[in-house]
Amino acid sequence: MTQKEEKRGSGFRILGMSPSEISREFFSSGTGKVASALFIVLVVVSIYSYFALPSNFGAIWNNPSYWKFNPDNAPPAWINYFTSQKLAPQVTVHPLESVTTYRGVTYISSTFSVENPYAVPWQDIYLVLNGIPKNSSAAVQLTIYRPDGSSMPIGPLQFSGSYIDLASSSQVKNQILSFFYDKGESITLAPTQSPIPLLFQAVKNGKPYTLDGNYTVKILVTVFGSVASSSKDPNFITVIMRGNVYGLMGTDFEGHDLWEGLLAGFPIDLEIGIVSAVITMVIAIVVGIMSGYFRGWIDEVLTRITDIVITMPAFPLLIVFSVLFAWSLWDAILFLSILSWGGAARIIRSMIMQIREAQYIEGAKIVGARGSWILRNHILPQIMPYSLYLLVTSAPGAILTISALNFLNLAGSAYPTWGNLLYWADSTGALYAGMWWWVIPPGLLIAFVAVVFILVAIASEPVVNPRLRYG
Amino acid sequence: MGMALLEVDNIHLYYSTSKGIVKAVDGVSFELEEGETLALVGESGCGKSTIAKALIRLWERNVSSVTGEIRFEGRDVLHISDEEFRMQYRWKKIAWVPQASMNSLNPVLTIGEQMIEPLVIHHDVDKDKALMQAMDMLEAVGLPRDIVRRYPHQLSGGMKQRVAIAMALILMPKLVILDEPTSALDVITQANIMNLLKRLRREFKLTYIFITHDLALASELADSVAVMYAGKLVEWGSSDDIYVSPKHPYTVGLMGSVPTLRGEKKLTFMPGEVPSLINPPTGCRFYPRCPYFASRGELKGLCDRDEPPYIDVEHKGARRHLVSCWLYK
Amino acid sequence: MGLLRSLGFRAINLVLILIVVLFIISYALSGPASSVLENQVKIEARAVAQAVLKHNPNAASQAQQVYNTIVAQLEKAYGLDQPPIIRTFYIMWDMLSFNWGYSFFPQNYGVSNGKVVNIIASALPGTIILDTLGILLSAIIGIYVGTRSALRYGSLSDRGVMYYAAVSNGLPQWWIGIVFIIVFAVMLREVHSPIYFPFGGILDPKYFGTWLVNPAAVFANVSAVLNLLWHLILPLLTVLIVNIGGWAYFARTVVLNVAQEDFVTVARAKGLSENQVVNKYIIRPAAPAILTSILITIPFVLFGGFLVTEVVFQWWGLGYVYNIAITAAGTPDTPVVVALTYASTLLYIVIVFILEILYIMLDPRVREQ
Ligand SMILES: Nc1ncnc2c1ncn2[C@@H]1O[C@H](COP(=O)(O)OP(=O)(O)OP(=O)(O)O)[C@@H](O)[C@H]1O
Ligand code: SF4
Ligand SMILES: [Mg+2]
Repeated sequence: MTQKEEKRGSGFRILGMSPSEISREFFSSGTGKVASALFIVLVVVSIYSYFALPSNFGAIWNNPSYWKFNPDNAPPAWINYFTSQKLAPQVTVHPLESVTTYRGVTYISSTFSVENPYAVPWQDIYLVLNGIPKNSSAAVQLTIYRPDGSSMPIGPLQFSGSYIDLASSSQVKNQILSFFYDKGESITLAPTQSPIPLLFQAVKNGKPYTLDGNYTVKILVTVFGSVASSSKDPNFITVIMRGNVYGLMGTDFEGHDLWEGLLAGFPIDLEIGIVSAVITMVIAIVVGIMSGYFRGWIDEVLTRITDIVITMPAFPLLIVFSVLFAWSLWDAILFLSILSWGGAARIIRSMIMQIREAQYIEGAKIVGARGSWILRNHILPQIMPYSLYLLVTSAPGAILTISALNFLNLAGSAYPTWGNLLYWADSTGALYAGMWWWVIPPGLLIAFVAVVFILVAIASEPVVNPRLRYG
Repeated sequence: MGMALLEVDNIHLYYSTSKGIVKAVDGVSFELEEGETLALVGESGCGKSTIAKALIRLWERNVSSVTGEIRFEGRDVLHISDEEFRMQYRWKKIAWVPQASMNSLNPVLTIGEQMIEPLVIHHDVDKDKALMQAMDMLEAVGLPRDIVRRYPHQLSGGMKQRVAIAMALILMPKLVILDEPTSALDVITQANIMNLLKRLRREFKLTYIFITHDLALASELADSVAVMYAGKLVEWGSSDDIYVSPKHPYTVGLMGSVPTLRGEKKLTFMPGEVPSLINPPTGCRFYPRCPYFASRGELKGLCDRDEPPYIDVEHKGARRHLVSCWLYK
Repeated sequence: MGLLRSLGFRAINLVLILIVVLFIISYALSGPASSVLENQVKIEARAVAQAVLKHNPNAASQAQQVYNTIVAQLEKAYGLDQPPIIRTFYIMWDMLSFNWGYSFFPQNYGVSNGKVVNIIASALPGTIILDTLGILLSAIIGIYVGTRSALRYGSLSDRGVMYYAAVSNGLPQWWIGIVFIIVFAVMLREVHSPIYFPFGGILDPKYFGTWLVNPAAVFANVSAVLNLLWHLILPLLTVLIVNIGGWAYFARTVVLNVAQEDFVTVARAKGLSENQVVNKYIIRPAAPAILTSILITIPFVLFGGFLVTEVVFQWWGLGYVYNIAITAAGTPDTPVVVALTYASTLLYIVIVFILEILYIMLDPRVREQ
């Protein structure tokens, strides 16, 4: 009798189902298939993001000068497919260069060409020069050969620092305006208006319009000194043409590449969901088993505590502590988990009560089974699947709560979170400016991750709740 | 005998599940005279409750097919409209005390509210009068009259069982289906309920279908006994015949397992398990567990291939004694 | 009798929660964050000293003296000269007696004199309007939808409701608000639609001043009330879109479970019509269970949902004031944040208590004994 019991207990059956039956039950529904596919997508993207982003991405994100060449508030590049007014995208070129040194002066020359079919051309051009020694001075000259046969000389421009911003140079502005003035066109620019688009435009009666076609740009850098070793650097000159649209997901007010920002959110949200759910679940299982199994005063006390934890409002406490102690994301997750196990513990407790009532335990007791044996063979196999289910159901809540905190600019992390992207969108008025590319995707992704967890939960419901299995 | 009150003619009731079609009742026929008590006996899961549900036409959502005929007072009630069945038969003629009738009461309504509903619906009785009748009926089942104002959670299991019985009798139905009315109760309460059922039958001239897995208990009440196995009827006859000379090996096994003392019994004596109702054994469904099949060579290739017909065996009681077993061919 | 006892029991439970929350905050303030309190004392003292100076601009030394005595008095009053645990109780007492001090940055709220109590009092009506309407309407619609859907279990509309509920459970409510603003305020303006909604706010500026000091006066004015309702549409819609799903989901689950109970089959067997069965034997017994399952999610619904939605719509309520206190000044306005936490917990507890009263009334198993 005992032996037979033992066999049935240790045989791998959960809720009377073998693992293959469980997976069949899970995948039998469309939801199960969709949920697992989406979950795999989530995990794959998270792993991809982990490898695709540099390890110090957090520091990079928070360093504004890293993003200074990017346009601010630019929509994604692909909107050109849907609009008639084409906008120039961000372009970065590393033109081939030739370096010659003559009497202690180094000349670096290079040429590149671009096509300009855009109704709104580039707003600025940056020349980034690497490897110019700190103590030597340099000058830059450009010539732009335009599709109408004209050519526009720019420079020489004094070079200092690590790059030249053409739009902010009054010399450039004057040279461009005089180019047109010589052709009998006078143009007035607002003080802050960039002259750079005019490079790619023709003017008629004072009105600029796009000059379609191929542009060739010649660059000559004169360095008064030698640039010996670094001259072999193929990236000696980098030309960045600041666009009006940017990348896959556009940019925010600081020129952050939102695609990277969004990508960085994947592993974070996945971690938020999983870590908080695991902590929650472990506490819930321990408390549930203790109060369900020992009964008596232990149960009494634990039930009281559980009741309090269930009604405890975690969110305002999270706010106040995040404010008082400048909590990080992980502090907040930990605290949230510590306050969210109540509901699950209550369910596990009642399950254990039921299992204890069940006769086979009484039977097992009679033949002298030890408590740990009953726990391992009867109680755990029955509550494990349900616990896993609860684990999955508690993830979305954590994700949403932490995202809401991030949206209030609390519980920050070095990495940008989706909630935090939305905070900046809200606080800089992006939504009133209709910057959908900045405002819609982070929220969609938060919802996506939460919904994936919910779908997994729904698909596993028939496994843990046999009542739903019929039909 | 006159015309039967109830004739169940070859009914089948199948459920569809993700694992396949469950043939919960697979071709069952029997009859019942007015005033007669039929005990429907069999192991757990053999389809007893399903028959009860078929009789009141309240099967589960996932039912896949119901066929056959159920003639009540000569009329096929399985094929009349839902509305007609509801207005003409439900509770008025056929009442039902469900299995685990602890759960047959709505927790948020008082006992009185639940008892008087049939009176109000079917007999158009006004509320106060109906309440008086409910109290009378409660008294008849041995409960205090003021229970009408109580809620179900304020009653004990035995009291709820009595309320369920009282509720079933409130319209004086022709037929009362009692689905294991005592299985969840302790021995003393069980005995009380059995006595109550006997008294009520006498007082109100009731016809019972008494569903149980306990043959000994059935013997107290039954005029005839129908034994079910895996969705089929294997033996049917007067109590006198069944108890004195059971014919089907399964019935014999059931009898053998009846201990002299009453109590919760399990049919652990019989080796093997109840077969799957999705893929039942071919031929006689009992053959995997049948001691005769195991010991007698000539039955091989017969019992496990061909379904045994119903065979009329000799009977002393009022009913024919039918048995479905190749031993008697 | 039984009714009062269970109500009392629940009330005690809730008060216990309030005290636990209060204790946690006060303890945090008394120990690790006690500099906040010292700051607070100085601000209060300065306010009085400035009042003295206003009265008599030449009495600088007198003002300084007043300042010093007040600082000393207040430090004593706040227990700053006491060990942390005693201080904790001082702070608790102050909280309980609505003695919430002064905002660090009163100019951010536009409420006169910068008293935290006044700031919060001005924000309370907005929150109450949005929360009450939001919860009531989403409950009514959600339970209706969920019940319908459960009764058509497996049908196309049932599946639709299921998926809607699942998805809406995962939607950040405040973000839906953002989407609504973009669509119904920004885009409708861009396409020159004759109808477009306000970007946010609780009232037009001309009424808002009155609202801050005397909301009752706003309700006396029909056009102001209409203006409030006009501003309410988008936030309310946001709240409904997300919360109806939750209610519907719980209602559906509970109704599905109840529908399988024996007493429902018995009710049908008794010959009740389908309508009667649904109303008396499914919905009524299901109601308490629906309420309990909602009760567990109420903190989440209220705080993670409603409060943050207020931020998006700049709806003058506790949540929006929270946002101002946290972000407007660069450094957090701690006294306001702390008091808000207490006040919103208080509000939450009142709402839970109302729901529990409802629950007790609905469930005789709790009501009778
Ligand atoms: N809704 C359903 N869907 C699928 N199978 C069902 C359903 N209801 C019952 N069954 C199956 O039909 C068979 C007969 O069930 P039924 O309830 O009639 O048994 P029973 O003889 O009353 O047993 P017990 O003595 O345990 O009450 C069982 O095998 C059961 O698993
Ligand atoms: S038919 Fe055969 S197997 Fe079935 S009970 Fe009779 S002897 Fe046994
Ligand atoms: Mg049964």
